[in-house]
Amino acid sequence: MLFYEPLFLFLFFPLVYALYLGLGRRVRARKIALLAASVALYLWGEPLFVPVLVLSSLLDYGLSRAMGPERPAETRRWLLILGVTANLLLLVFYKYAGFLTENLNLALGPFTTARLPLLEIVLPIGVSFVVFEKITYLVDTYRGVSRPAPTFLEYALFVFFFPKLLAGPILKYHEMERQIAVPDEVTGRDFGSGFLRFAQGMAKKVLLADPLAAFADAAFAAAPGGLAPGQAWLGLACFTLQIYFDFSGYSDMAIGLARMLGFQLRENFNMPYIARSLTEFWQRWHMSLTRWIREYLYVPLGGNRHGALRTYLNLWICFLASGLWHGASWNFVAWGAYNGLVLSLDRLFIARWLARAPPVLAIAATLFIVMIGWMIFRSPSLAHMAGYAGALAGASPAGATLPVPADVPALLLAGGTLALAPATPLYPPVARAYEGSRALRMIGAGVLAVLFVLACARALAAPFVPFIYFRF
Amino acid sequence: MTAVLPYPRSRPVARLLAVAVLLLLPLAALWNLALPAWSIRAGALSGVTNPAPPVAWSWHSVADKRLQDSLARGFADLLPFRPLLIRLNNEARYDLFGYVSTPHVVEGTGGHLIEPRYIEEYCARGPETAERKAAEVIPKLRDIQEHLRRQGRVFFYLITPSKAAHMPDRFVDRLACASTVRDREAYLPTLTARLREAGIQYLDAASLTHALRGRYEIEVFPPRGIHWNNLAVAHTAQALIAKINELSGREMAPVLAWTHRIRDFSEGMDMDMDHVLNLLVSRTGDPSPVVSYTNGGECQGRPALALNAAMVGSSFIGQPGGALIYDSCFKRLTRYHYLWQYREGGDPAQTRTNLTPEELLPLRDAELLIVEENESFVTESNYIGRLRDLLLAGG
Repeated sequence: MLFYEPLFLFLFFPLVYALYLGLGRRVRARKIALLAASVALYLWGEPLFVPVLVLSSLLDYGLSRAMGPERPAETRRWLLILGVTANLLLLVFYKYAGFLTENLNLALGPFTTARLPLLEIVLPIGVSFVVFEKITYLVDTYRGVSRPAPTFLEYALFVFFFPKLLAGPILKYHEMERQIAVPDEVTGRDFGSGFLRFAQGMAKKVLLADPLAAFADAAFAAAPGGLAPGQAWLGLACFTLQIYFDFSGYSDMAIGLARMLGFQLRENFNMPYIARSLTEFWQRWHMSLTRWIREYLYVPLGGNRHGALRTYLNLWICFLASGLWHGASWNFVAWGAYNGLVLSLDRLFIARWLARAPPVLAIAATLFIVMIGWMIFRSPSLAHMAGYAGALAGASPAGATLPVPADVPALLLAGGTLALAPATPLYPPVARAYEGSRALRMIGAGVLAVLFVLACARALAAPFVPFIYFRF
Repeated sequence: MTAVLPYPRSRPVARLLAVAVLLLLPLAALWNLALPAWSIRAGALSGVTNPAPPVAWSWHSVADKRLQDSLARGFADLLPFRPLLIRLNNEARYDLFGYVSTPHVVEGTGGHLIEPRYIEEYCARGPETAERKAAEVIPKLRDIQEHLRRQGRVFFYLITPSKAAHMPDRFVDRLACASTVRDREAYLPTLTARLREAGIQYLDAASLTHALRGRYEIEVFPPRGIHWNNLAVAHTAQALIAKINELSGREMAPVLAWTHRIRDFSEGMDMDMDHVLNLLVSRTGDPSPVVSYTNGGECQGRPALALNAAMVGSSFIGQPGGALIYDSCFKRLTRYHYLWQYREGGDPAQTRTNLTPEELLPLRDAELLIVEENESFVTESNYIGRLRDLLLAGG
């Protein structure tokens, strides 16, 4: 049940919200209601995985309670290892078992005819996000950054909290602790701001990302050997905007829903396409994942504390892991390796060059680098990736022309403007004027309300298109 | 002790009002579920859709999410404003981008709408197409014709026109069109030549209609419809009566004469493709003909009044059949659409759908039988074979 589906918009959320509001100031009752609703939502989408997740959460909770400061350091360390391993095994089983088995069979091929059986395991929606959050809880508890959740109810609410359950942002328990312990009562401002944020997200996802996906999918599904460079670049441009509006749109919806319930979630995107270097891009894109990688992988590996070579190695490892996190496929690994390489080069000289370049050039160059990365990310296989790269370079003999849907130029213009306008000199005064004018904000709210209605209309009329990140 | 928040009480009345508003939508959907005869709906949607698979209540269907999908689809159908919002979406995309939201409709030049299968057929015509189709359909037609001839009854085969074949210039750039102009234009002459050689009685209303292009101030296919308009129908009805009279050996009814005028709007059958687009605002502004038959009422003593007649065919028999019934003297004519879907007319006039084999038996008694196929779908209709089996089984 995704946020823009009619069942969620017009049944699940109104009922949950009505119940939540109706419970008034009964804190425990509201927490129970929210947890029940969150579990129900996840059960609806993943009935087989929820019991596993509940048991896993019980284990986390038990381990966190056992990791008190009174325990010997060695014991606490082993409890942490147990918890993190259990969570990683969960992720490996559901996400990587097939990939590992397939590749192991390939590797064993020359030596034996025996083959490991390929298990048909369905990847639960949001498993990567949930597992990473559970790992942050255990690690932060171990580090003393977080206190263990006082009750399983509160820990379970953190894990299952439905606005962020399916595709993040990846949260930290101690950042949510106070909100979970005593949820604020919902105010009119919470509803208004939350609804507008949700409407913004729905508009991005349903009115921009999904229609752009149509041509992006067609371009990447075509045999790259017959794709003209113009069409290859058009397909890549569509995907570049699709992935941004799809994912940031979802984050907006998550943040908006949480706000409507009186919760504040951290931001996940900060205008990433106006970045002037790849380093800056990763500080603006999927910020919760970048932060996780930095705090729970990069820093424990040594970060930049052991010389340049070790720093670059750590960056590579982190981005390889990030690539794998996105999907169990060699093209995701390649994407991670590509980012690791470019980030290393960024540190060596690229970032310095771009810093000296005019902003337009720096942004264009960064966007170009990111788009090549998206080409690797979107390709269904390494062979396809090589072919598509050839098409981009004009190396393919042009075959049949793909029909370009009539709305693509307008969507590219609208999407490109939204994504890049913050980089223009006009943006700061316009933003200030907007913030300072009630009339402008009312007009903005009206526009968002209209877009929300149009997005609902399209969601009712259009065929289902899943979020890209849900299967991570 | 129940934890309470350490700040001033929020407004319970405002909260209750918010709760009531939030519950309106789910309750409205529930109302539509419980009381479908009194359902609350903002508008309705046009077109036919495949029925949703029945909800399978089992653990397996929960585990593989089929149940959830069924329930989600079912809930969306219950929403009171669903038709309105779908029309809003379709209208916005059509106005802004020229998008036709229905996959089974294509828009050509001049706002002409058509089902893509007509273009696909037209563009697939090759040098052997007509020969192949003739070889397949003629044996069945011959069996029917001979069976009825032995019983002294009248039969002929009616070929109706395709919009794509009538105005190909409006459509052939919409899809890849591999066929040559020669093959496309040779199709009907070749098909009818084979029918003649086989001794099959037929009326080529398709060529008759195509010859009308440019004759009137408007096209004889409406822009927003897939079927011919009343001008083409009038010509065909006239030719039908002439053919009936010829094959009967006497004047069953006077051959129709008519006048026409052009009005500045369209409605009804002339808008059937537009309706399927489910726009917020129907495009009714295209001119359409109003045909007035001048001698249709001269039925006193005419043999057609008592004639047990039947037409079996596609949706194209509706209009000419209606002209024969209501504007001429064939008051006992019954139209069987696709042989099973529904029947209209007869004596007494009635409409029935999803016909049972028993309800088809009166066809065996028809003194005049007209079997129709659109030129685009010759041999693709299964009702000719079924009709033959039905008639021959009756002895």
